[in-house]
Amino acid sequence: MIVPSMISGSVHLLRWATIAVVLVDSNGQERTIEARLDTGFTGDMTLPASAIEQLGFPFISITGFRTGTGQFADFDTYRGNILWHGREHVINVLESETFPLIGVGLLWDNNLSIDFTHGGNVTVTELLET
Amino acid sequence: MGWRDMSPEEAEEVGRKVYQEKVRPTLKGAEEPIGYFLTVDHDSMDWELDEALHKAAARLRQRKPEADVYGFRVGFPAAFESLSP
Repeated sequence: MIVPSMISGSVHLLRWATIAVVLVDSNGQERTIEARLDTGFTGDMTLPASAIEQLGFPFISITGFRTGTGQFADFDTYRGNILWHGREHVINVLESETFPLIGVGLLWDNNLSIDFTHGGNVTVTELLET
Repeated sequence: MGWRDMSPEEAEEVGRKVYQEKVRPTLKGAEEPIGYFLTVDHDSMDWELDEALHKAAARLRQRKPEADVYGFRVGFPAAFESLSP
């Protein structure tokens, strides 16, 4: 029987569902960072400029972004590397000074389960092809 | 002049125009690449299309290392969106 890979996290008192993810910098070094899950965000991930610089992620493009108020914005976007379910993936990282966010781009083909209570369990389980 | 001199709304308008006038005629009846990322170089209006934004940008830069690249998404008002303000 194949057991799907699972990533766990927890729910913060301030109502953030967080998981720790492993990013791979331009020298191949792994760095673990805490990120909040945001199912309203369609991209893969956001990181502050200082983190992007430290990781050495290269610039890809400016990309268009529409916010919840319907306004448009530009985001500088970088090519990042992440260890996700034990495998390295290339992701789009939007530069934003908020707490690092993970969006539905990265959560695609996964099941997300959150117990919304202080210290509640968060699990991200890969959907296996049937 | 580059993408950074334009508002995001103006950029999206240019992206839609490039798709209609330059990308669409190359489809030759094939299904529209809804959800694909379209990257456009500001000066040449040269473009690339791929399911992955980084691949569409990399191919454009292979041809034009100094390309000023903007990322759009076919069939969507912007490449990415969020429900938060």
